[in-house]
Amino acid sequence: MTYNDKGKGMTSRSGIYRRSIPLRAMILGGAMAALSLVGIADTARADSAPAAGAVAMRRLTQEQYRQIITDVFGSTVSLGGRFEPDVRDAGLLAVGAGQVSVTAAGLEQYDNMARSIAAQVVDEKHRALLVPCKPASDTAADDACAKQFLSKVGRLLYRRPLTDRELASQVAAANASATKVKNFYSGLGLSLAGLLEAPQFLFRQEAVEPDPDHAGWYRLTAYSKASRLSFFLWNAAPDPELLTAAEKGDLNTSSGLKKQVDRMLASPRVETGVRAFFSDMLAFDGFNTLAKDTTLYPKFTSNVLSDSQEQTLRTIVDHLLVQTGDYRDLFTTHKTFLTPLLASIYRVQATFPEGVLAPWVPFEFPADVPQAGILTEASFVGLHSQPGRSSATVRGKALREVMLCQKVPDPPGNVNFNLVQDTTNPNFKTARQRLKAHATEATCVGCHKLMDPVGLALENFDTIGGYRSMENGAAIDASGELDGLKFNDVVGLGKAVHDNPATSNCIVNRLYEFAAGHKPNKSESEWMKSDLQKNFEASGYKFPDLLRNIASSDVFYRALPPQTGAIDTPSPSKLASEH
Amino acid sequence: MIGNGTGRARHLLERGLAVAAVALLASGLTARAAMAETRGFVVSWFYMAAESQADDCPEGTNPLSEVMARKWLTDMGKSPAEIEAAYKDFPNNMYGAVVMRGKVDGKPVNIYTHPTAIPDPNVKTAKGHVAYGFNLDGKNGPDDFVDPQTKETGVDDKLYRALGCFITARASGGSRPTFPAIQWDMTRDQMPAWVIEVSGIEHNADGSIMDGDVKVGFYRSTGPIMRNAAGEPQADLTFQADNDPRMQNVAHATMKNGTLTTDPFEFYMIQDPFGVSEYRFKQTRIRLTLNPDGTAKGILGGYQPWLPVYTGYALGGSVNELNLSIDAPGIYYAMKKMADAYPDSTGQNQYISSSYWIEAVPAFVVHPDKGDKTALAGKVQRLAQAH
Amino acid sequence: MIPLKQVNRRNILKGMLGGSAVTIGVPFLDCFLDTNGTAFANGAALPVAFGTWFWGLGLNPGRWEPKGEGKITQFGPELEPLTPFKDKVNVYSGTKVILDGRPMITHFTGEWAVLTGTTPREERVILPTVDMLVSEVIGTKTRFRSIEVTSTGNPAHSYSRRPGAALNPAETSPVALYTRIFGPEFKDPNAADFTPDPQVMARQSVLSAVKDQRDDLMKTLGASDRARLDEYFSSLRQIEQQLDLELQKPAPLEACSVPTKLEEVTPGTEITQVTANHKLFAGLLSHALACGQTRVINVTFSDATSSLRRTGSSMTHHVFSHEETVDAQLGYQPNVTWFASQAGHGLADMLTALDGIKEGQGTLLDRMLLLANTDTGYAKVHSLDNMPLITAGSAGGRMKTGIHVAAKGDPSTRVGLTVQQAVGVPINSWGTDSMLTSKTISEVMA
Repeated sequence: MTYNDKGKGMTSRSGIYRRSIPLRAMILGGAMAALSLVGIADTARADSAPAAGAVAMRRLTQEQYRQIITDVFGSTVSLGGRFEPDVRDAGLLAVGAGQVSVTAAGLEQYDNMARSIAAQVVDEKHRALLVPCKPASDTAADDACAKQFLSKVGRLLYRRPLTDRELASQVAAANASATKVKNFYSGLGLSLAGLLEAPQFLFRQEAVEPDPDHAGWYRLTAYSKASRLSFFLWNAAPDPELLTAAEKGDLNTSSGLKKQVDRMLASPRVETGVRAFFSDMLAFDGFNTLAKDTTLYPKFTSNVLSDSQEQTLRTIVDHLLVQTGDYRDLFTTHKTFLTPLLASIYRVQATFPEGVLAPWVPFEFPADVPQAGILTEASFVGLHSQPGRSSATVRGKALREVMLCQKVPDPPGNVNFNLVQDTTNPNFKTARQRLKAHATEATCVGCHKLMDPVGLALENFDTIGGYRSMENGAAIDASGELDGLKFNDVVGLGKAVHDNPATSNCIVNRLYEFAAGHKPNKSESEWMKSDLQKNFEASGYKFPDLLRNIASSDVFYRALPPQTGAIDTPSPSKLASEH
Repeated sequence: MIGNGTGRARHLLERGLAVAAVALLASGLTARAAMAETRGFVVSWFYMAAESQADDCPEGTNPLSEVMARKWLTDMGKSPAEIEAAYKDFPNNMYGAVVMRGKVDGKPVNIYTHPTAIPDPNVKTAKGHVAYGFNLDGKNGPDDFVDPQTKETGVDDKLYRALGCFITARASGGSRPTFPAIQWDMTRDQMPAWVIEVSGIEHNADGSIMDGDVKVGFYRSTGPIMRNAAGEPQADLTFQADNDPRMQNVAHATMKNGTLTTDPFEFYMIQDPFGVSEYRFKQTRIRLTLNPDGTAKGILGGYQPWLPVYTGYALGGSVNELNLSIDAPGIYYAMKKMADAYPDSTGQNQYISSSYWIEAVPAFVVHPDKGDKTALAGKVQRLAQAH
Repeated sequence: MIPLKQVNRRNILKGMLGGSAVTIGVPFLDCFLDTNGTAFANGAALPVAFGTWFWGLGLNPGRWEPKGEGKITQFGPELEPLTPFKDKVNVYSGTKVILDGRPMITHFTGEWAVLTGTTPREERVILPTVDMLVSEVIGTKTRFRSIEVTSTGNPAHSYSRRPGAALNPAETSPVALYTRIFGPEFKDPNAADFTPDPQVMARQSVLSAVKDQRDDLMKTLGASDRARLDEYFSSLRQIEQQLDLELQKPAPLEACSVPTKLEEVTPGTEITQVTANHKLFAGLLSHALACGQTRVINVTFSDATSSLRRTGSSMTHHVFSHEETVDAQLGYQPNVTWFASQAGHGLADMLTALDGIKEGQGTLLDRMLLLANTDTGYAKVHSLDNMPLITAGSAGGRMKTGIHVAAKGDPSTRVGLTVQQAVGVPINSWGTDSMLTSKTISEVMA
């Protein structure tokens, strides 16, 4: 019987709950355990297929690549070169990473970077520290030393021990190279470069094994679990301790997993993971190509691009991790962080320490100033605007798609945008007037109803995020409506987003998709709804609890059975031992 | 003043986070609307004012440096061959050649540090009657000017007379004279910014500025400007006024039709040794128009010591003379002769009447030592109208 | 069923990957299928070459920028001489040098900040210029790592520095340069012996170790991931083929010919002297590049404090820049704009020489990337805003050309980073403090 037959139409998650009760009881305390028990009573059904997702083969992102090089070789090894562009799918680059490959031009860059990094690792400055042995002769091959180095480094780069074949092949390459160029270290460096451009390094290829406790069920191998966990929480490859836990089989036990999750969540490196997630979710890659008309907005220098992103990330990290605040309050908080440049754009007075090139200070907008929440920050209103004017439609679309995970249809092909784009028409001074005139066209009304009432509430912010109360001499009306909730201004919009159930569900879904690297299937969606979302609500929308819940869950590490025909002859034991 | 969050910040945030006080004033908007407004500015440009007329140098302007230099070398007794050698690759071989053209006790001396070591070259000076500024002495003499903007007569601006026939000090129609503009532009990135604060502004029902009394403060701040994408100072930055007692220039002013004019006051600001190291004015008047877009522009006039002005021109030595066509000792003598106030014991006037353009963009000015704040949210609201 | 005419390579790709939205892969297939391609069809592509071309005192704001952004249709008057090359150059307006509170040393800060990515703290430069950074990567295997020349007769008029404050003195005499390159030590590259590089052989064995794992990896994958990995290995194969070609005796440099002996005019700063000698240099350097003698050049057309002058006049461009008044009718300084357009003509002469050397279906200019740069955005007041920057050539197809990029006050280093990446320097950021950037000019990256 195949999985598909067995699982068809079934929604049970009994296996998961059976495994996760004690775990969550320990983590979240009695109340949460009770909630889970209710879940069992409702849904338990023996022998059903578990919620499980597809495995992914994800190309490392630029940040992950950088992080791994720094983690493995230290910060004095610099990497250069250009990365291939990442691709966004289902709202996330993390999902798109599971669909891209490496082009010839891209591999040429990886090849350059790999050789540049490897040459530094084995140079005279670094070799004493990074190469754990000395060759018998500097000018000839040394099989034993090459093997020692490559197996040690290989384990960190491939995120699992090299197979015997892989190691033999790399050592042979190091030896052959050393002989050809008559230098042990050059040969070793070239072989290391090979590791750094190998698909086992560049792709996070997840491996699956049968679950020994449940016939017909599959799970990630321990090393693949370690990778998923580490890239999720730290946006980095597993550290040696986590690899050792995988090697010992600890990650297949709930106590062993808990120990690692606790350790990783307590580490400051969680900030890196949280920043990576929000940069991805908030589509900050859009800043790479963001341009503004500086004739109209001379304040917009290139530093605004980096400062805006950093402002929002600092706000998020502070609110979610430091203050352990309610996620939804990000849309209403008056607290943020500013640089002099941002203060000038927002037109607020703020003093900064002297003699610091890029100082940041915490800042709290006064209660009566309509600047509240990350929607009013330049990273949102500036990113989602036209170069020379704000755009209620673009902002409304972004709010729905990014913050609420709703899909707004693309505009039809032959729309006349003249009315909207002409900001000098004396009959339509404000964006509201222009959009109203535009949206009388029947083909447009439906979608604009989704976007404009939301986006128009942000009209108090110009295209670079500066506050304004008038447009072309006419007062701006920032009232609007979100899913039936009416409000008078942007502060009201923030509250409406805060209270909208889609807001918290969206972050739960996006975070899981970011962690798992694929669009969820039906079984995963139902599990998110009944488990992750409920628990997030019960925790008071505390983000660290959500991180913990995903990282500790059984579903996160479970996998669909391998596709029929995809594997030639892999015996489960061989897979388990290799990966 | 609210210090926010830093006390609670844990290890996650401490890395790279500067801890600083954040100045806030959180009073209600409605309450503030009735209050008098304070506007802050940062000076974007400050340079000698000139409205050169086609006929104000009737004998022509002073010659270009390539012409002047030949005379300098000839007067030094150089042979034609030496002169030709100095002219090769002009002005690159000329820089050294013209420095020691003074003589003290028969020995050559540096002309920039000893401008009187040669006889007065009698450079051409401006004869016109149009110049920006103020009637500083209350008299209406034959040598005075008419301000092209205010039509005020009896305007005193002897500095323009002294320099106005050097082509790099001439300007008209809103352009900035080259030399003074270079002096400002080259120094403004590294010198502490100059800031202006206008307080007591009241508004008419239509939002325009009400006529009446205001107070003007002109201070040096503690940090430089930041440039925007257009290369001009970024607007709406916050500057802390330096509490150096020498640079607290505060005056009463009268607002009329959106332009304020101060009563006479004493003015002192440090600039930068590359430009004019210090500006000291007596009987200073400032008129400043507060534009609806938040910027301000106007004229500062007064009597200033002429020696620091000379130093500003002479400091660059032959590089300035040869590239900007000035005659340093000529400027020295011209200003000395034109100086029109505050004589020393010998009767030589130490001060010269002069006028400068002030251009400024909106900024927040704070005085942390005084606990004095510009209204924050009011500022947010007010400036928003302008854009 | 798909009608046959719709089975293009995009559909094939889509089919292979199970219909998911995939935007990668096309570049490889482009090469693979493109019958005019340089990589597979013609064997080894000719290597990329790089140059910097300096002129002093910039251009006049508003008088050089092409109309509008994007595709160049019309240059401003001072760059009109470049019109024949409008499809082969890019113009970057609106970039600036940021001082970060450092002194603005006139005719010094601007050019060294642009060329080293770092605004100097004092009148001393210790960082290498961009041409030297490039030469480290592409210049190590040629007879000359780089060649510097100046048309002004003064060897100190060089805008090329090695690390540690060492200026690369510029050759002032075309005759001397001719002798240096094509004199007795010149070896005809088409006749030279060939020794395979052991480094390349070693790299081959490493890549084959990577390739050895292919079958093991493939076994564990689903169909769509297998297709992705397949593409990876196709890319790997392409690098291997490049290495194969490096191990073979290089194809003859068909465009290489020894120029006829030349007669220079006495070096000097009169515009006729400068123009004549610059043309000779342009021709010599083009031949040197075509004959594989060097891959990096640095040309000074005029120095930063431009000493250029008209015949018989002692008034230099620099003196005019400060002393000439802005003509009220014209709105600019007429003499200064004349000098500025001389730089436009000079650059056109350089491009004419490079483009005149035909190599296969393209020209030497096509595989070249020349960065033209200067010291100021507006000489009258020594402005460091709106610094004129121009690139010519596509670096062998790695850059798009014919584009005007209007930057928004971005640091000039974005252009420096872009050109370095285009010619293969393995860096992802460049510059210091506010000049530090990791953003290339994506509009021109192919």
